[in-house]
Amino acid sequence: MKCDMCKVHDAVVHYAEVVNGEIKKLNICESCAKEKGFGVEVSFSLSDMLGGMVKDSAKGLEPSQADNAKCKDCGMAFDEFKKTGRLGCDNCYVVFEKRLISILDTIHKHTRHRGKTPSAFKEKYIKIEKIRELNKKLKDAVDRENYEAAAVLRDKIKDLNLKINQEIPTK
Amino acid sequence: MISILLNKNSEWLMGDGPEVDYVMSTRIRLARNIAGYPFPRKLAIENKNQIVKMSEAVFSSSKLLSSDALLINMHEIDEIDRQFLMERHLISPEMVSLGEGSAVAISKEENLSVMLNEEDHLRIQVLKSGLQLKEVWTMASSIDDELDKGLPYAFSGRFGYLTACPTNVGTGIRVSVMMHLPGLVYSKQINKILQAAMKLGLAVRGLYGEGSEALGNLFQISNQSSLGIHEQDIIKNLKKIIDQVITHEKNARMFLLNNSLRQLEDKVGRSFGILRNARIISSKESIGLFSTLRMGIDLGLINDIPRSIINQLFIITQPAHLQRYFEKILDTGERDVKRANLIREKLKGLH
Ligand SMILES: [Zn+2]
Ligand SMILES: [Zn+2]
Repeated sequence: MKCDMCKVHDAVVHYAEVVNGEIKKLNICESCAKEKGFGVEVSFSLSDMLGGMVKDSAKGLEPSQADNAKCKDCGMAFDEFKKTGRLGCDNCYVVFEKRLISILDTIHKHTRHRGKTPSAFKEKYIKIEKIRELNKKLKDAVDRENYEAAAVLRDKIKDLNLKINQEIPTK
Repeated sequence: MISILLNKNSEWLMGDGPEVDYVMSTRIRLARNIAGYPFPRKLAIENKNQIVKMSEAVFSSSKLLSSDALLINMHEIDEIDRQFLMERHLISPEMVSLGEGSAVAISKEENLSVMLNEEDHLRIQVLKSGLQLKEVWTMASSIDDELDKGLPYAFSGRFGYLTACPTNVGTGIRVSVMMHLPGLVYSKQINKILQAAMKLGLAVRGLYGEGSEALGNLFQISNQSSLGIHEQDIIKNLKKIIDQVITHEKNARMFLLNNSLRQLEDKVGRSFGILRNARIISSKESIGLFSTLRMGIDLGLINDIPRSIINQLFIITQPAHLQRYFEKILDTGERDVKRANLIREKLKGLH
C-alpha cells in the first residue's frame, strides 16, 4: 500500500480520525507522518512495531531511503545479514523489520512474540497489547460506521500512547 | 579449575530421572542479549569484557549460581580444556574456538551453565537426567528471572527477546531431549519415526554423527520454532511427540525381546566382552558398544552394571577427557589404548 500523501513510499502508519462524525482514514509513510507531525498516532504505530526499547524508528535509518538501510548502531547492511544469517544488534530488528517479518514467518510460522517478558518491560508491554486490542476495535467501529464508539476508542488509544511515551527513557 | 570437574560426575549423567530407559537427558537453552550493546560478533573486546563483568556481578547475587559456581574465561584455559567442557555439554562446540571476551559460569552440580559472548551475550543452559521438561524449564526460567533483575535484556514487544540469529528470536528457547533409541534403530523404523517428528516441525539429529547414521543410537529432538508460541506450549508440543517416540521405542524393544531374544543377548554379551577385554578401541567403536550395553541394562538382560557408569563412559572416553584423566597429550593411537584401559578399569568386577 502506497502512502496517501506522497504516493511514493510504502504506508506504514494507518491512521483513522473522526472529524464531525465523518471518518477519515489515512495510510501514510514514515517520512510524511513525521513531517506532518502525527504525533500520537505515529508513536502508536511505532510502539506497535517496535515495542521493546521503543526507539524512534527513524533513528536507525539512513536519512534517504530505507532500502539501502544500514544499521547505525552496528554498521550491519542487509546484504551482510543475507550472507551470515546473523544480525548485528538489537537495533537491526528495527532497521530491517519489514524484511525480517517475512523471514520470521518462514522460519517460525509466526511473526509476533508470545511468552516471557522482561520485568522492566512488563507494564509497557501490557499497555501495548491493550492498544493493539483497542486498535482492532477501532477498525471494527469504523467499518460498522459507529463513529461515536470510534471516537471513544481513539481517545483511549491516545491516552495510553501518551502514558507509554512518558515512560520511554530517551537515550 | 578443570581438575575440579574431572574428579566428579555431572548430575545429569546419574541416569536416574523419569523415562531414563529411553531418555538420557533434557536440556533447555535460553538465548538472551543485553540492550545497548551490539551482539558478540559485532562487539569490541573491551565491551565483551564489560558484559562478562556485568554478568559476573549479577551471578554473585544469584541463588542458583551461588558462590561455589565456577567462572571460566575462555582465554585462560587451553583448547583441550575447552574441548573438555564441550564433551561435558557445558559449552557449545562453537565456544571451543572462542578466546578472550568469552566465558562460562557453571553451577556446582553442572546442571546449569551460562555461556557469555558466544553467539549471543548470554546463553542460559539447564541440563538434567531423564525426561524432566517441567523441572528443567522451572530452573531455566528462574535463573533467567534472577539475571533479568540485574541485566537490561534486549527485547521488543513485537519480536520478543532479540537474538543474533533470527531462528532464536522470540522466546529464545531451544528445548532438546536426548533419546536412546536402539529398538527403533535395530527394527529399522527409526527413519520413519524421525521423519514424522521433522514433519511436525521438530529438529532431529544424532548426538554423535549425522542423521540416521547416529552413533550410539542417541538422538536429540528439539523445537525449531521459537517465536509466537508460549514457552510452556513449545514444551507441551515437544512432550507430546517425545511420549509417542517412547511408545514406539517400547514396542520395538518388546518386539525384539519376543522375537529375537537370543540375538539380543548375543549382541549385548559380545559388546560387553569386547569392552571388558579390548586393548585398543576407537571412540566410534566404543560408543556403539556402550549403546548396546545400555540397551542390555534397559531390557534387564544385564543387572549388575549401573546405568550411570555407561552414561559416564560416553563422556570420559572422549579425547579431551582421556587426556585430562591421564594427564598428558595423547595422539589418536595413544588415546585408543588409554580408552581401552579406562573402560576395562571401569567395568572391572561387573557382570
Ligand atoms: Zn509519504
Ligand atoms: Zn544493528
